[in-house]
Amino acid sequence: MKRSRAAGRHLDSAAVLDYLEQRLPERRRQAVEEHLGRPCAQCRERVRETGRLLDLMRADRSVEVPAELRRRALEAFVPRRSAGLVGRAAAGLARLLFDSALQPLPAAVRRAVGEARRLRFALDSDTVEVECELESAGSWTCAGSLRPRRLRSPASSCGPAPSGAPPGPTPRGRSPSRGFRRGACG
Amino acid sequence: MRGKSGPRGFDPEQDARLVGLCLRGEPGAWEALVRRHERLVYAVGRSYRLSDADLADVFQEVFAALVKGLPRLRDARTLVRWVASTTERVARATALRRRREWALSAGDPHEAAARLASAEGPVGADLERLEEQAMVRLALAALPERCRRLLSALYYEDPPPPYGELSRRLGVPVGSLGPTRARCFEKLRAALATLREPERGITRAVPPTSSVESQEPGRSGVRTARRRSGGLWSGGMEGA
Repeated sequence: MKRSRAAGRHLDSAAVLDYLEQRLPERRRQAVEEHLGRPCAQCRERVRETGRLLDLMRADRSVEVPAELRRRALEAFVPRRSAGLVGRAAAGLARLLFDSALQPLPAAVRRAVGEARRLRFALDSDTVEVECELESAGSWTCAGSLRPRRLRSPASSCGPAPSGAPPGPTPRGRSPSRGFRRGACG
Repeated sequence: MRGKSGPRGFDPEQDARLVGLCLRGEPGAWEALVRRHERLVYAVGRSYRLSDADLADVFQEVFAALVKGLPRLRDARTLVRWVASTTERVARATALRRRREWALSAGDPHEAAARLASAEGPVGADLERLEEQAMVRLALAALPERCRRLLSALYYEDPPPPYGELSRRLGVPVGSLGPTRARCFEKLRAALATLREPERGITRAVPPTSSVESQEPGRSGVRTARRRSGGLWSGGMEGA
């Protein structure tokens, strides 16, 4: 009766490991096999999976990597501290300064610049300018630039150009005289 | 009990974090990444029975390819599959090249043909098995130290030490070793299960960026910078 009760209980981790490693006393081993033979699909799967994992570990004969090889791999990458600007930019929260979608353009300007959407963000003291064009439903192509404060022209200023065209990044392939002024907001 | 993110302290996204840290220029991140995967690269490379010099070149080329591909690997949950498949391609190409050189060095066309016919092909390894073993080691590395030492001693040492010696090494009473072993093993299973979850990306291979690229279908996906409406851009996966 005792053995039958024991054989009815599902196997815990210790029992599974002891069974696979042949550490069980004879009576306990028989109870486990009786349980597995009922059959108990859950425990059979557990024994199978545990056995497989043990085989993987025992068969792992990978060796330590020679120090010289590791040294060559380490030399393949030199962290670039000058990427800090990008890192700072990526880590910060940008403040939206301008969104062309929110500022209706005169028809003449729209014909000149197309349907691209232009955005400008302030990121700490730097500026991020992005131009996006709709490719298809739900898919945009975007290009942009990150302008550190020190690289901006001292003569630039924020605000609409005298022609009425909004400030924004210079469209690719177009000269600034086509209605957009390259500038940045401080 | 396994939570959604695996056992406490286990981070299935460790590789992704290290890639991010590398890209930010954090010292130590690259070394941590190399140390996590160097054993797998070495094991796959060795399975092709390359010379020491060729093995060293393969090793370096794989990590150089990883450096090159870092910007596209930000979302990789684990790099095990990428590392294994890249190493396999580079090692196989090297082994084939050496085989051809050896055959062609015969001088006589008939002899060269005979050498090519007789030469054993690149042996390679059971790549899937090596990947699984690498994942087990990653999971093991994240366990508490006592579990790591216990399971390493029991299942990686050959022969495994007797319980008496283990008890002395770990400072654990002999009678506690069995239950401790079981608890540690459960933690290992839980960590492995987390690594293997499909949504963690472990079954989605990221293609290598090495010039030695495979044409094998079905083993890798294509990762591109995908531009989505409403956002600037974000990484994504297309194709399979």
